[in-house]
This record gives sequence, C-alpha cells and structure tokens, in this order.
Amino acid sequence: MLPKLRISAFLLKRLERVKLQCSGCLYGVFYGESTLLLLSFNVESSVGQLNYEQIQHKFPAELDLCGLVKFGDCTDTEAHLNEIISSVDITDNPILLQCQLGTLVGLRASFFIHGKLENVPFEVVEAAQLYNDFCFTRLKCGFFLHTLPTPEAIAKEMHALRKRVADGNLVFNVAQTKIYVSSNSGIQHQSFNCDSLIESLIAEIPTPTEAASGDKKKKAAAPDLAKYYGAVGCAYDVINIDVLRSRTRDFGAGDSLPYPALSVCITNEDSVKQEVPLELEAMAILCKKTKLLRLYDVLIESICRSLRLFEQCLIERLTEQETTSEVKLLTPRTYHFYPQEFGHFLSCAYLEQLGDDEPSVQEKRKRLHRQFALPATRPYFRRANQCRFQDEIDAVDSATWTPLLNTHLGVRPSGVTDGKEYLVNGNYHYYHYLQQQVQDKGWGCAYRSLQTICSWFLLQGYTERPIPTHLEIQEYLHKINDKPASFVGSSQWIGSTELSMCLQGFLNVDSKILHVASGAELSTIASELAMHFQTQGTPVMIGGGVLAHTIIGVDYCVQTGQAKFLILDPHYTGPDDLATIQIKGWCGWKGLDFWDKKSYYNLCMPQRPILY
Amino acid sequence: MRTVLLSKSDELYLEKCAQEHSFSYGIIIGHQADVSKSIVVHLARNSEEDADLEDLTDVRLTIRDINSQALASQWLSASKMCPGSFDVIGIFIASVRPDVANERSEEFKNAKKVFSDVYDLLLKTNNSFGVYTTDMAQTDFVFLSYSLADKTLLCKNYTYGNGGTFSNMDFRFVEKPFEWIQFECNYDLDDVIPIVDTTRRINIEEQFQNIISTIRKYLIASEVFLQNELIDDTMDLQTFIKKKKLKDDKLKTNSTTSAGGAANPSASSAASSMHLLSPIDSSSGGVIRANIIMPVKCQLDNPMDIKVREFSGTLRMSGMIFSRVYCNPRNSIADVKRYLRDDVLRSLITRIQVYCDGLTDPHVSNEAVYISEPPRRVFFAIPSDGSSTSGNAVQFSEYLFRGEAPTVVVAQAKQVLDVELDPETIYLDAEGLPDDVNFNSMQTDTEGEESRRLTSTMPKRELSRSLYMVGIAVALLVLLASVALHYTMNG
Repeated sequence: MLPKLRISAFLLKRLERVKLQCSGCLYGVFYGESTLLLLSFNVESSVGQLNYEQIQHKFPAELDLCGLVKFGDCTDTEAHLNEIISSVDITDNPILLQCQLGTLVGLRASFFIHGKLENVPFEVVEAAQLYNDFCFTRLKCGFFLHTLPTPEAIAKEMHALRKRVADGNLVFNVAQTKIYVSSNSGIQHQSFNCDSLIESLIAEIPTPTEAASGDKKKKAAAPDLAKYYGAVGCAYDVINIDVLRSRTRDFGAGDSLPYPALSVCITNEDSVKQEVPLELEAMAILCKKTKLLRLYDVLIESICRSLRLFEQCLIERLTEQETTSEVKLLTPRTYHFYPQEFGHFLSCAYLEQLGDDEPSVQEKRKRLHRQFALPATRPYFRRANQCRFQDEIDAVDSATWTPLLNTHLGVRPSGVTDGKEYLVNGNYHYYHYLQQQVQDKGWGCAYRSLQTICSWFLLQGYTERPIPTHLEIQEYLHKINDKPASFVGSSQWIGSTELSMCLQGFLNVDSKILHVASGAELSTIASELAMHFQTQGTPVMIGGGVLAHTIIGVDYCVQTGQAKFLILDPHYTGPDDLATIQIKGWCGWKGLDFWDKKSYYNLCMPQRPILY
Repeated sequence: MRTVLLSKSDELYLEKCAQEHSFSYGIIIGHQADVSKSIVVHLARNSEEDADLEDLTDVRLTIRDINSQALASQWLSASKMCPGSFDVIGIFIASVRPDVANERSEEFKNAKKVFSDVYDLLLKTNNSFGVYTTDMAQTDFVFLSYSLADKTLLCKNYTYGNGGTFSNMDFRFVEKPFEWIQFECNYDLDDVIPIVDTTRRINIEEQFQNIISTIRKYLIASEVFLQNELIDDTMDLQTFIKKKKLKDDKLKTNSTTSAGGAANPSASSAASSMHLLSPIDSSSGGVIRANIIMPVKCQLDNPMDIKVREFSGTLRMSGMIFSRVYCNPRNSIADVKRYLRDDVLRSLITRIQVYCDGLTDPHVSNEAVYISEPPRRVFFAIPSDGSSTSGNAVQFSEYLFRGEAPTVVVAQAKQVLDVELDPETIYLDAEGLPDDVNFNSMQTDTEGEESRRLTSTMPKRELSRSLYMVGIAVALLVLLASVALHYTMNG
C-alpha cells in the first residue's frame, strides 16, 4: 500500500523560494498507519556535493531522510538520485518531489515502488494543524568523554558512549510528573496501558496554573502545554524529560552466576587524556497519536543524535586546527533554533569559547544558510538566535524581570476590508512607562520605543548588547555632542533623530527617517510601511507632537487605500498584564483618526544590517 | 517518649551474660521502626578482655572498669557488619549485682562517662563515622542495664553533647518474633574517574576516598524504585505491601481469565509489561527488589560550571555491590529507600577500609595497570535464639578476600557479634569473584603491558586482636607456671 503523503505548509513556502536549478534531500516523519509528513529539505551546499550526512543529526529525532527534491530540470544523476535513495533507511518507498523554479505550480510528488516512480496526491498541513498533531520532546543529560585529543580517539570513545546510552539502562522521567519510562518496564502509570498514546501523557503533565489554582474545570479542557513548556515563535507542546540511569543490574534467574564484586583498575596513561563534559539537550518530534511504547526508543535516538553532533563539532575543530603539540578540546553545547520559515526545531552544537564571529564559525553558519536555502543576509543560527523556551523564560522571570513578549499576538483584527497585514518579523519585548522603577511618565515614551526596537535586535540575534537604560541613552547622546551635559539624568524627551543616532551607536544599525507633514497624510505612507515590514520587518518608531509610538504592523488595502496601523503604545502605566493591554488597546489596531491631524510626524525605520 | 522493643531471647541473653561472667557489657544492634520505636535486633557481649580475666571471676568489675577502647572497636566492627537498616544503637550491661540497674546508685553515674568516651573514640578513630550513612550521624543512644540479682532492666536514652544526658525511655518485651520485610538490590559500579593530579605517585587510599565521596554524592541524589515502580516516600511499608498484593491478585486473575477465555491475550500481558510489576511471589521468596536510579548529569548542582580537564590516569570501577536490608512494616517508604542507599554506601566504605587497612604501601607502583580487588561481601544469618532457625532470621555480612576461607567469617562473627556460626551456612555467592576480563578488554590499545593482579600482594587481614590476646595469655600462663614451678621447687 502506498503511504499517504502530507506536506507542511512551511516546507512548501520554502520550496517556492528556490530559484536555482539544484536538488536536495527531503526530511519527514512517518506516523499513523502509513502517513509521511514532509517537514524539511536541504539543498546541496555546492554542486555535486551531498551533505545530508553533515546535516541529518541537526534534525530532531524521528525527522529522517526520506527522499529527494529536484528543482527545475535537474537530471537524476545531477540529483544523486541513486545515492540518496539508497541512504533512505526509514522506508522502502522513498519520495521524490519535482518542483519548478520559483513556483509551486506543477509540483509533483511520487514514491519509488519497486524501482518505479508512482505519482501520489498530497495534502497540505497548515501550521495550526502541525501544532495540534505534533509535539516535541526535549531532554537534558550529561556525560563525560574521556579521550585523547585526536579525531580517531574521539570517534572511538563517542561510539562507546552511544553504545552505553543504548544499553537499556537509561530511565526517563517526564519532568513535573512521577512518570518514568524505562526499557524493561515501559511506562508506569495507572492510567496508561499498551495502547496509550503520547497525547494521554501530555494530559498528565501539570501546568503551573493548574498546580496553583487546582482548577478542575480547566483540567477538563485540553491543557495548553505549549504556553508553559513550548517555545517562543510556535505553538508546539514540548515535553521536558529528565534522564536517569538504573545502577541496578537485573536480577538473574535463580541459579545464574552472581555478578562479580567490585574491583578497581588504576591506569597510568602514557599520554595525557582529556575529560570533556558533554551536557547535551536533545529533541525529538512525535505525532501525538504515537503509542507511548515508542517513546523510549525515540528518546534514546535523540540522545545519540546529539552525541553525533558533539562528535562532529569536536572533530571538525581538531581537523581545522594547526596540529600543535598542545591541543585542548573545548566543551560542546547544544543550541536549539526555531527559524520561523521552518516550522520545526533544528539543533546545532557549538564549542564554548569559540565565538560566533570566529571565521571558522562564520563559515559554518554560511554553509548552513546555503544548505537550508536561507538568505545569508540575516542571522538564523547565531547563539543569540537560539530558541527561547517558555519554562526557561519563566524561570528567569522569577529571578529577573522581563517584559511581555510579542503582545500583538491575539489582538482583535483591524477590520480593514480586503486589507493585507504586514507585521513585524520576529520577536520583541513590550517596553512602556514606569517599568524597572523608572519614573518616566510624561517624558520616557521615545526611550521606551527605542528599548522595544533594541529588544527586537537582541531577540533576532543581531546583538548581544543588553537593552540600554534611559541614562545610557542620555549619556550616549551627550557623548556624541548631540546634547549638553545637563541632559544626562534629566527628564527631557528625545525624538526619532536621536533614536536613529542611538541605534547607530549602540547596535550599528542604520535607520531611514521619513517625514510626514501632518497626521492626515499618514495614509500615504501605508504602502511604504508595508514594504518596510516585508523587507526589513523591524519595529518602527513614530514621533509627532509630544507623543512617540511604536508601529509594529500595517493592514493595507491597495485598491481602496484604506490602512490601519498596529500600535504598541509606550504610554501604558499599568502592570504587565496581556489581557488588559490588549482589551484597553495599548497594543492594537488604530485608524487614521489616532493621529493628530495638525502635527507633523517623523518615522524612524531601522534597517537590518547584513549579517549571518 | 522513645520505646525500645526487645524479644524474649534478648532477656535470656542478658541473663546468660550475667550468670556466666558476673559482669558483662556489649553493644545493642537495633532498628528504628518509626519515630518513637526502636527494635533490638541483636545483643553482643564484648569478649575483648576475656583472655585477661581468666580465673578472675571473683574480681568485682564495675561500670568504671569498662574498656571503652574495646567497646568502641566492637561498635565499629559491628556497624560494618550489619545491614543498612540496622545500627549499633547503644550499650548494655548485665551484672549479678543490683546497683547497675538502679538509677540512684553511684555505679549508674559512671555510665555517662562510658558513653561519652566511646563516642569520642568513635569520632576520633574513624573519621568516616557519620559518613557511613547518607543521613546524619546519630547522637541519641540506648542504654540497657540488667541486674540478675533482682531481674530488673533499666532503660535510658543517652544524648551526646555537653557531657551527655540521660533521659527516660520505655522498654517492652515482645513475645512474637519481629516481622521483617526483606529488600534486595545491587549497585553497579561502572564508572571511570580521572586522576587529575599526576605530579605525585598515585595514592590508592586517596583515590578510594575519591570514589567514596563521588558515589556518596550520587547516592544522595538517587531515586529508588521498588519492584520497578516509583513509590511515594510518604507511604508506609505495610500499605505498600497491601496495595501490591491487591494489584498482583488482580493481575493474576486477569491473566487466568484471558488465558482460558477468548479475551485478548496481548492486552493482559501488555498490561503487566506496562506496569512491569513483577508480583512479589514465591519465586523471590517474599523479597522485594529495589533499583537504584541515578540522574545522568555531569555535575549535580551547577551544570554550567564544568571545564575540560586533562588527566593522565584513570580509576576504573567495575563490578557491583550487593545489598540486602530488613525493614519493619511500620517504616515509611522514605526510610526503606534511605536504608538501601545507606547499605550500599556502608558496604562500599567497609570493603575499601578493609582493603586499605592491609596495604603496606598506599602508593601505586609505576606499572601501567594496577588492579586492586577489595574483598567481596558474604552474608550469614544471625540465629535469633538458639533453637529457631526460622526463615525469619536476619542476615549480617562480612567481607572475604579472594582465596580466604569462610572460617574467617566464623571467627569474626564470634568475636564481634558473639554468635556461633557453622561455616557451611555462610552465603558466599551474593557477589561473585571480581572479573579481570573487563579490564583486560579495555586495555586492548595498551596491549603488551602485563596487568598485574594484586591478590598475591593482597593486604593481609589485620592480625585479629583476639589472636594477639591469646598470645599474651599463653605467655602469662607460661610465666605463672614457671613462677609456680620456681616456688614448688624451692618449697
């Protein structure tokens, strides 16, 4: 029987953007009776070079190589058809997609059945359905690698380590629960049996509000796990897992020989070895209808993938380095990314003490951009781009204050007929009056708008500089002789020009300044704003009269010229409560009447630096 | 108020001690059943000075004459031999005279000093005292004083500190034998510890201390499963057993119905595999199996703070520690888990101590591979009273080097615990002889190097003190005889 084929809407959008004749590998998940969901692809890094081997471990476990995609008139040989087909392990029926350049028109999907291609129809899976049907596991554990600093030794020790991981003695604990998953005993829980599915496990994970309020009614509804254990930028449920190891050997049958008693072997090594801590984080993707019995193997596989990533990055570093007598290994660490274009997670291993701007690291990132057909003009895989998980944000929150994130998600629609929404691209924090105990009511709105813009650059990975304070902003403006000394520590306003200077000074970001003679004329720049959000996607500061606001989107109808602006209002003085902020319109769609007809306005439109 | 529960045989033992030796003292091995109740598991008379006191039964010994050194050393040895759920909980005295059991007597006042002396000695002579347990070291002890003259028993609670204080304590003789629930577990020591400081010659004792502290840390962070299940700490043992029985019965009936009827057979077998509750049935003899589960982390507390380290030596452990403890149904599950962890740690520390005590030179020679083989644990039942050898007897343990005969255990049990054992009844196969194959296979890359077995230079067990005493006694006898001979010849 032919598998059913589904393709994620994210993947289709990415395929559509490929404009060069080439080929690539397809990655998908098999689930259910026999359904294949295609989620991702990568293209050859340079002509005639296969690269799934370098890249496959970056995918969450269960997302495997399953076929081939050809763009344009790529021949089978050029596409390395046979090599890729033979590398597909998870199915006997690899998939082939044939895609025209720059369009989805004429996209053909076919399975290989006994060496022949057979066309199949496919179904598109939208984001909401992906979030609903799939979830990710995320586990943390640590091992020590004892090795000589040579590629051969590392490969050997890593192999041994993986064997140890898969020896059946690991036990997994679903965080926040007493649910343990082990190899011999399956999952112990009174409400599970052999037919239980991942979704029933998800239902058992308590969310913080449940624990706090003990609200029974809420529990009846599907728990909104993603809100507490998900990641910023997507609505996938994430199951956190702790890893343990059983130190007790199975009791043998009655008359089997006893296990040997403790003995200790002290070895003097001829050469100096190194102990490398491997604290890893591993992810896997699972359909929520998957049987719980599968979970153990999937988790083991996710650890092994992470270890392979670590191995790869340790060995790559050694081969790049000049061979000197003193080779000190560096500690690898896992970073998860969730590029908005992907619709799935991707993990990379980076070495501590090897910064993002080291040429070798940059080179690797560049290659990764190319492999995933991503533009090399924006950062995707810098450390600062790493995915933020809600539970970690919450944990940090309780220690240090963090503003609300992406407050526009869930606001009432603008109501522009036939309009198209152009929104800020990426994450930002909402800064407003009176935060951090700064008494800036009446004068700090532009400062707050600047902070919001800075947060966007921080969260998008362009910078690691902390958000500037009011005082830092004033000091900088004095330093560049824009303001007198008396300005520092004062309660004086700043405008869009000062903002652009600060962005230049703090983040090395250029801005476009746009003048609008009166509030009534703002509708004329709607198309320009739409273009800005499409190409730059940064928040825009608008200053006019005595007020400053942040524009984070525009809803615009080309035919009628009607436009509304998505405003983030820094004049809000209340607590960081999302519901209030959205209901009272501190973040919401505003029409032309929002602006003062008589004032002139200046817009500061930050331009993304070219960076990867 | 705390209560001490004794069995009838304990009374008989006290009586016997007083009768045979007119004044005896020894240690009490006990078990904490719950917050307020301690059970006396075993009493063991101290026989250290028997040799000195041959034919001196008429000497009127008092509490003041108690040899605290001898008592402390017996205390320590016994702690090492008893399972993790038991401890030496105090001291007893049995005398023909009535004043030992009289609180107002002069004699009683001296008891405080004995306790504080013994405790000080324990602290001083053994720096790992208190590290024995994953918990805190105890500071409350039981004092039992029996007078044969009026057949009374005085029971007091002694608290160490500020010279020590005695407070009241209840005691009760229990007719029925105590009920024990047996737990078994093993701990696989499959770890490699790098030896970082390589400027000096490797000191085995230091390295072993390293092992102990590493494993102790991990044990404290461990979780313990019972019959492969995580049980809530707050539940008590008898509730657990009751629930378990119910569940097992249900499983059994399920499987019989499905086997007989047309019911889906995979469902029931899967149900049991999902719960994996291997029922406590006859196959395991009512023994509950435990698993020790450890977090898999590089560092338990601060995972961000770890660096790459260089080393040029390793300490590779292999093999396992077998653990067997006995618990009271009133124990909480948390107690059971702690006892199991304690037992593993105790056994590890003990075998390492026995090993190190016998080393002539704590430094490793310069050979590339050096294998040390601490003694393995063997078990023996403590006869609860002379007659009964019922299955209810609890087992203590001793340690045997490769090639040592079980008679070593017999001698040690007699000396420390005052029990007579038949060498045939010692259970030798809880732990197997260590396997060198493990190490050899790991050394394939450094082949050609002779791995040197250390058993030949294996430390010799410390010359047993009693043997030493026998020697002195013989010498004394010879002296006395020659003196007597001298006088008779002169006379």
